[in-house]
Amino acid sequence: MNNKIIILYLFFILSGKIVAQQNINYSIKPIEKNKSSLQITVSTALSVNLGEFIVGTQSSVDFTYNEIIFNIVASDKEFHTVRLFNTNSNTGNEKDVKIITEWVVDNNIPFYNGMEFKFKENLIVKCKVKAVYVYSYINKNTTKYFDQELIVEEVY
Amino acid sequence: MKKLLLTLIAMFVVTSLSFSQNWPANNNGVLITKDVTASNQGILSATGTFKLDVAIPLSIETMVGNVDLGAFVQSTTPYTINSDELKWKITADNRYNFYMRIHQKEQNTTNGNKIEMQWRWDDGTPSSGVIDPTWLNQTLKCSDHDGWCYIFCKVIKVYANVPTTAASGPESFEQKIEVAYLF
Repeated sequence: MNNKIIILYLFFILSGKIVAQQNINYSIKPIEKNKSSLQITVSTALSVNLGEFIVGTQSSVDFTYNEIIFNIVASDKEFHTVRLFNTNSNTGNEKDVKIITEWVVDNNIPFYNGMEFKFKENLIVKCKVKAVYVYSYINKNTTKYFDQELIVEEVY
Repeated sequence: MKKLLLTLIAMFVVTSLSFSQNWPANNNGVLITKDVTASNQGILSATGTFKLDVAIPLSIETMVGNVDLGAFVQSTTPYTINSDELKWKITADNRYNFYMRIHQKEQNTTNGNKIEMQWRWDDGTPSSGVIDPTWLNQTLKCSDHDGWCYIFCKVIKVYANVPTTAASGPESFEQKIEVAYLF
């Protein structure tokens, strides 16, 4: 009886090994050495069209549909601390076209440069346009672009 | 016997599970755990863009730009005529006022012959009518219009009392209109 059990066991061991050997063939993955494996990514929509504004006007903007949403995602399930900056963002100038923006984090927390935020899985940062000023002496139709950049620095 | 059987079953289960896991492996079949390379500093950024159009929704188009008044013999008495009209169309955003300046040129500076003109506008409202001569050559604020406005100009008198340098020849009197949201 005992011999039968041992033979049976050996049979299963061997068949398990064969399955494992077969798995090796398609489970090989390249190992990328010396490459940063940052666990967070940040993405956003590319462009938001605010519409048309007339020279010499000051217009408030309904930012409900006019916001850029930055999505910071952590690929692991760990907590991450990040430091946020928007210092490279462009809002124009008073002698041309100026946009007034408001940044918020995690829905309603006011944004300030260098603020640290701890999050797990994902964090939303929004840039909203509240008003647009168009200087009176612009004398031709033109299109303006205002890049808003969110810089995310992971803190370890 | 029962104990041995249970031990063997347990060993079988553990061994089977170990081999059936789909772990990453290198070419030599050596099992490798997750490759973690810690980065000391991670800086990421993303950029979105707000786009807007600045518009000056105001334009002027010459609809009739040339009127031939015909021939006039030199005379000390002015000719009274009712010429065809020059015509311009102004299109504007009716939410905003705009400004207009009519540059009337009634005398040819090279020889002094003259014409006398009458200007009128039509924006489809009952107030359309003759443009007061005192409004010419100065900035006019245009409001209460309906998005479009026609400006007309006709000649009502011709003064052909100064001989041209040649015995006869054409005279031209160029009329100009400027429009802007802000002068």
